[in-house]
Amino acid sequence: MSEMQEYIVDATNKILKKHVTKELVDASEKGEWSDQLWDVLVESGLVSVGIEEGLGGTGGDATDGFAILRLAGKYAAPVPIFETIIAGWLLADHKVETTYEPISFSMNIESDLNSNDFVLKQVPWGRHVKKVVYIGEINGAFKIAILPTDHATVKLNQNLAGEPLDELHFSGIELEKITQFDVDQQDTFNRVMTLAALGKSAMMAGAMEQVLDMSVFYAGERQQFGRPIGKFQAVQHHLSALTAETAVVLAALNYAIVAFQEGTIKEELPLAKMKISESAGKVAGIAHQLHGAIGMTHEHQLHQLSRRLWAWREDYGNESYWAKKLAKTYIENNDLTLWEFITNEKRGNVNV
Amino acid sequence: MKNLDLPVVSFTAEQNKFRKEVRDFLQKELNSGSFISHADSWMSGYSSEFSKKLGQQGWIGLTWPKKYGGQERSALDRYIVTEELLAIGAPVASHWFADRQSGPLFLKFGTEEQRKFFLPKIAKGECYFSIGLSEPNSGSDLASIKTKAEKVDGGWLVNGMKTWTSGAHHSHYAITLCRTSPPDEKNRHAGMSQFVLDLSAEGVTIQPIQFLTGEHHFNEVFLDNVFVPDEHVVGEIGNGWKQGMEELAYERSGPERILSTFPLLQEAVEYLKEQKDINGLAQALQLVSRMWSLRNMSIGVAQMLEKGEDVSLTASLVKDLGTIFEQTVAETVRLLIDSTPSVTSSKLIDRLMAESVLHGPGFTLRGGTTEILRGIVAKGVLAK
Ligand SMILES: Cc1cc2nc3c(=O)[nH]c(=O)nc-3n(C[C@H](O)[C@H](O)[C@H](O)COP(=O)(O)OP(=O)(O)OC[C@H]3O[C@@H](n4cnc5c(N)ncnc54)[C@H](O)[C@@H]3O)c2cc1C
Repeated sequence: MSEMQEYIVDATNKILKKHVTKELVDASEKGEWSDQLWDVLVESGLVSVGIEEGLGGTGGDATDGFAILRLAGKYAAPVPIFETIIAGWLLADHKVETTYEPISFSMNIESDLNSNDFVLKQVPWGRHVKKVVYIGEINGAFKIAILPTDHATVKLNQNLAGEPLDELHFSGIELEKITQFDVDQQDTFNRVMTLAALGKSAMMAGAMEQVLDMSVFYAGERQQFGRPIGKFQAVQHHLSALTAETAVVLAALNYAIVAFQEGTIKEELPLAKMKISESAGKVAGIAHQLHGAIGMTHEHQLHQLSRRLWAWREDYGNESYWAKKLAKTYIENNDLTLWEFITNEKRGNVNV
Repeated sequence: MKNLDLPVVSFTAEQNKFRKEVRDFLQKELNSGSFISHADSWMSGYSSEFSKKLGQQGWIGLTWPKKYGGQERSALDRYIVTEELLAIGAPVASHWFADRQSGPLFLKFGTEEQRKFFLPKIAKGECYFSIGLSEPNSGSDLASIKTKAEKVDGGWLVNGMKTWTSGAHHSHYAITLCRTSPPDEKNRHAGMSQFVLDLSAEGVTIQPIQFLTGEHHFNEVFLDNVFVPDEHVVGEIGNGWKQGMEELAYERSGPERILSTFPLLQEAVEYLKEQKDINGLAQALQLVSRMWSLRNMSIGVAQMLEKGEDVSLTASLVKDLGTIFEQTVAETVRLLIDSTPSVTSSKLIDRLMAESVLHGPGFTLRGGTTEILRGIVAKGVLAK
């Protein structure tokens, strides 16, 4: 970790620890906007990390962003920090200055925007963001474009974790007049999927670290049969399994991030996202078993993390999506034996 | 809570070149028929000729000082050699324990004479070691061992019995844990010592225990008034438990805790690829994602070990997850390919499947059972 990253991690940790309470997450689920938290994050430059200072950013690189997202996942921060950071990077690719507003992004590879009235489904945090970075076709050409949401009405929807996943009904937008950039479809799709899958992986890793911490705490505190449940071997095995999954998830995440940083990331992305999504479900399940009925209550905090793990493991490709995709390229475009594939240091043979 | 991040290791260009050198050598050996691939080859593949060939290459004791016959290479270079050997299913059982833990034990706790005597022979692939820990009534509860060594003039007299001793019928020596003072209920780990036991010495009787496949891997070793000279005490008398525990970090975190069934996985993936079975391959690749992550972890632990950091918790994690992964390979692959598993089959995949299924239960037992490892991890995290 660079010195700058250590500083960022430390600052983020302090801010999130102070501001993200269970009540804040609850309120966000009821539709409230966490303005105080957002403002602190903006003022500290954490939503504009990985963007050069010339564009209004904080500097640093994407790995700093992933470090922030790991903590955002850990604390279940109820703000569109993932969306804003990644949308910001996509815009910075095209030298668009950052505006410090909450923004979201939406990738559409199924249809073409070709009228002034259209619907974007499942826009994360749609109700609270000022802009949506649209990645998809506009009038038949593949674009990255900025859609201002003041032209949109919102049909509320949410994911498993109660995070906004809204339907935006745009009307009266003149598509020719919005800021937009011609981009290569495949490259852009890959870039968005890479950033987003890594970002969500980092958030899941953080959430798993927190679930492990909560479970260790609970096992030491909750008493049955006259002693802490952590004294029972069956419960210890749950703790061990949680530790193991969290450690292996970090090993997957950290390798993928280094590959990304070195500009060589290829099959590391599906391999890491598959493993992390798989572990997310295991960790959530084991932690609930360990917590007993209290973990099933809204009052307890566990669900704020377990529901996020269940939601996020599906985002930007679950295990099955990436496994099939990798299988297809493995068959079509790869002469390596499995062992060569796994130990291949000069990646690049298998393009996913 | 302790940070669970492990170091991320990128192999250097030189290391990749070395990997290729090792791989080419092994491929040539395989092609020339010098060995055939087996699953779990680090426990079942005995070949002293092959071990000697590796010794000639300088690939045993790779990290040890040159003056003891080593090459002074890094732990990562050694990692490369060991994982290449396992991936191709080469017969490495003869020298495995000596290279992995007996040699390092001498380097850490041995006398200069012991190092000079044993290490060069081990590095040549000529001198093999077994591990004498378990006894009939002491498995997981190792501290309860009864085999004892009593001080006599010029050495120690050992009486008792070891069991499950892998390869004792091939090995020259066994690092043997004995009681050297009576059990102390207050400190169960006190009063034990490690000895280099010459397996050809008078009073040593080795009897095979047939493995469930009918093969001969492990043994009962009866010790009846066996004289062990003072020069064959390892480290300090009474410090045997602690010394033994240090060996475990090497024992639990290496690639052999992930790769025992890899030859099967590789064959299955080749087959599914040929069949263009996308769904089958997708399931196999999900296993690969686990394996890739575990390998990252195991390499991270190897790096930490080299720097002398404490890895007892993480090594236990690698072994727990890794050995269950090894078993899962067989359980997943059997549903993806059409196979009639048989150890006598001439079809490679059928044989590897049979070996993987039949050896599988041992993966989560040997070197500390899953249950014991989980206890270590849980106590580690609860203590933090
Ligand atoms: C293939 C193979 C090779 C081996 N090679 C060697 C060798 O070379 N040298 C050597 O010294 N030993 C060797 N062993 C022995 C191995 O170390 C032991 O099998 C292992 O330590 C477990 O001991 P046990 O078999 O007596 O089982 P036990 O200790 O009797 O355990 C039986 C079951 O009870 C469980 N159990 C026991 N105690 C507890 C507890 N406190 N909490 C929860 N569960 C518990 C165990 O996890 C296991 O599931 C080998 C074993 C195998 C299978």
